[in-house]
Amino acid sequence: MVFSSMEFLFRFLPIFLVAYFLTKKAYRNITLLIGSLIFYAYGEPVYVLLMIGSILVNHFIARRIQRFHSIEKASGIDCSFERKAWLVTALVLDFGLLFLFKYVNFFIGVANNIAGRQLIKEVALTLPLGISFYTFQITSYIIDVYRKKIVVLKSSICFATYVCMFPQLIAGPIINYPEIKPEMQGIRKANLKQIEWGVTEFIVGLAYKVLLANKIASLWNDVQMAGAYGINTATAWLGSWGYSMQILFDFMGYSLMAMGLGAIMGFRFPVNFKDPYCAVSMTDFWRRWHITLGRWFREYVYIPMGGNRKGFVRMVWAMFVVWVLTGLWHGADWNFLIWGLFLFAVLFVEKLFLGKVLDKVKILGHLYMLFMIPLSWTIFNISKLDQLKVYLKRMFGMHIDGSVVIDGMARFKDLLGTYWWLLLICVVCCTPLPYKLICRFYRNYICKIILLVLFWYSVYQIALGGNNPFLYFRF
Amino acid sequence: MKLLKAIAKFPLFVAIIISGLGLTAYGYFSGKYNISVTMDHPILAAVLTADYVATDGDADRATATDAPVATDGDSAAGSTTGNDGAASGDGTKDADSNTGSTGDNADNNGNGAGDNTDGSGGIQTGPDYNNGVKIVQTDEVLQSGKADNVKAPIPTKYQSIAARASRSPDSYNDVNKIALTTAYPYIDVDESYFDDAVFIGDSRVEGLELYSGLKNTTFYAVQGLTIFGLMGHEYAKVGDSTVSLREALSRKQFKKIYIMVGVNELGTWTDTFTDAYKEAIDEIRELQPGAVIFIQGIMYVSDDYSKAHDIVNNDNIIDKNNHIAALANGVDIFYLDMNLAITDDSGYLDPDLTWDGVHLQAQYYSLWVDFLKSHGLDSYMFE
Repeated sequence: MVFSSMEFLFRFLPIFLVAYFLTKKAYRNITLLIGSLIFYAYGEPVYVLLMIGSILVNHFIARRIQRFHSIEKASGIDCSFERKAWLVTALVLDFGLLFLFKYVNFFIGVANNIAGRQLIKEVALTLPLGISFYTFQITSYIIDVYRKKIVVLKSSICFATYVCMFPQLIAGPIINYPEIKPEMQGIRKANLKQIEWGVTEFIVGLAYKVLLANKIASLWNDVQMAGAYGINTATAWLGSWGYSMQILFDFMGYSLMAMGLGAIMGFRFPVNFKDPYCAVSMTDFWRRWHITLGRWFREYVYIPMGGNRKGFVRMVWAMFVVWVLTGLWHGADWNFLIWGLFLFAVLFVEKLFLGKVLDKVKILGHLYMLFMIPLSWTIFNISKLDQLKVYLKRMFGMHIDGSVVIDGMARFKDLLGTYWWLLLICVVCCTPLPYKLICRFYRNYICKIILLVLFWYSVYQIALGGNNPFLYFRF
Repeated sequence: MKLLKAIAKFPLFVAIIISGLGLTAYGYFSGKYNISVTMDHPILAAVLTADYVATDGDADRATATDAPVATDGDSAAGSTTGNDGAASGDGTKDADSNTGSTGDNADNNGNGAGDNTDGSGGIQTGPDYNNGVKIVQTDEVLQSGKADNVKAPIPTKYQSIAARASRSPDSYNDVNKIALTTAYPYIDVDESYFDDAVFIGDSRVEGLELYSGLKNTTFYAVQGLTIFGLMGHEYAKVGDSTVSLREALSRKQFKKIYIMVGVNELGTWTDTFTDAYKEAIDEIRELQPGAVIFIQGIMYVSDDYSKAHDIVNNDNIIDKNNHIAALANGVDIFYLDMNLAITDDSGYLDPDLTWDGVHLQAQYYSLWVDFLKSHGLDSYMFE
């Protein structure tokens, strides 16, 4: 169920909220858990069992690790082998499942290509919703248990709720358990002010998704309809800028909706986006975009590999691994690998010398990002490598065999004429301005009326159809 | 008072709830909204029946629609002119085999000689049939045409296919046949043949205008064009002004008139569509007595797109094509089915040639142009 759909807004959510607030405070986690399972089962009637199984197994392993902690503490016997063994088992299981559902076909394809024939048959499995997200949450929990940051409870309810919570299950922020432990394990009081803020955040997220992202998506659609062969350089860049706006408001909108829903229920989720398009360098950008993912990779891959404390070579190697994995996390295809490598290359150059320059001369940084962001998203977006090659050639004004552009500027002017106002609104919403305005004025009644109107207008747009699917949905 | 105080703490939330309840009540009492719990309900159907539209795992950005195919009720007008939502199609679990919609071609003999089309029941494949650009014509056909140099009527022929029920009986009939390109011994022509030609149509013909490379040809095409607006709607650019087709055709005489419309009005009942088409052709005939009119069969959409839409689908296109093909006479009105040039094994628009499932990408319009160049009429036809 997508948040920006009628089924969610007017069937699931009202019923759930009624059930949730009617439940006694001590049992609200159970209601949340059941509701989340129903939410997930709506989209994945079969794979919900996989997720439940995964939760139970991981909880069991977490308790095992915990047990060895206690034994160690109590009797002084060294149980590090047993603890490590259980940790490795859990990681192999969790990442193994992720690999099976998401990556195995990609690698089979590679193997077949190398062999030149159908060596191994591709597995006929669909990707369960949210598996990339919940796998990372589960593994962060297990690793934190191993690192003695978490005390595992006997009942698996809290852990299960933490994994399954519907606001963040499908595409939400990747939450670390210690962040919400007090709210999860304590009694959450229904704070009316928090509910109001949650609703505000939710409406802003909904508006971003439905009114901005879904609308600007038509720009990329229009450009791609003819394809890279039929457009000129300016149009290619315009299309990429349009897509950059689309993906930002799509994902940021979704994260805001998740945060809003969490707030209504009494949770404070971590922020996932901090005006990413105001970054001055790619390094800066990845501290502002999908913050929780970057955090996961830093805590569980980069720092364990040594980070920047074990010499330059180690750091570069760690960066390389992190960015290849980040690229592949987003998708199991060659263009995602190329994207990861591209990001690594850019970040490496920035680490060497470029970063300091960009930080100092901010205007240069903004100009630099004006071109790097759409370039990065173009590689991310076009999966077919031959199409990607042509599009990139077009972006850099290189010659293309078989190009059929007669009057490219006419098309560019046409598209610009249609979308300039929407792009302008998008640009304004990229800045910290909207957030500052909301924070300042959200208690004002006029602001509330505007939000109410925005809400119903978004609903109206959803009802009209043409509801673009959430881009990060199959994760 | 206490209640009001509480409400004042979260007024927005309360406002949404109240407005939501109000809207629901309004909808319910005005009869616009009724609660029906039957097995047909989309949520139940999604979970229980095989019509559940599953998304493919390959596209990490796949469309995850929640409604099954059966309840997708999209409107015809404007839903294909590029404003449609996400492009990637959903694969349905029911794998019904489409027994081909690739129209057969001039493999059929021309005037009078016994033909081999009806009753075959399957896709015409084999050495004479080529999924690519060049259409093979038998020598017999070429000889028979050249020998006569006489304009004789050529009725449109149909190829039988396995019957398929209509998914929107209000819009189109069940289909059990496909109209074939008028069986004339076409000749190969070059670009100059189109100097006195005009192409009329919707956004796909617009694409032809932009990417075909035909420099001296006239194009009167606009996104969203339908047969109902064909003659009177103002979209024909003549000099500095934009006039109606009626006006444009009374100003300049053409020898070849190519028309392709239909994809934007697929929601209209086929008979209504055909009647309007006939009226338009009659009017064009009056305005352009010396021209040959080429009715181009509506171009297919991709198989995935067709499966996911109840109105804009290939069965509907085939039904409408069958009806307008009957208007052809082989003397001054011909039926050309360019779909041969752009189909793949499924028999429908090759997904490699398109991004949204409906329009050809810029570099593939050459396939359409090549088709037209291999379907030229001999000069005696224009006298």
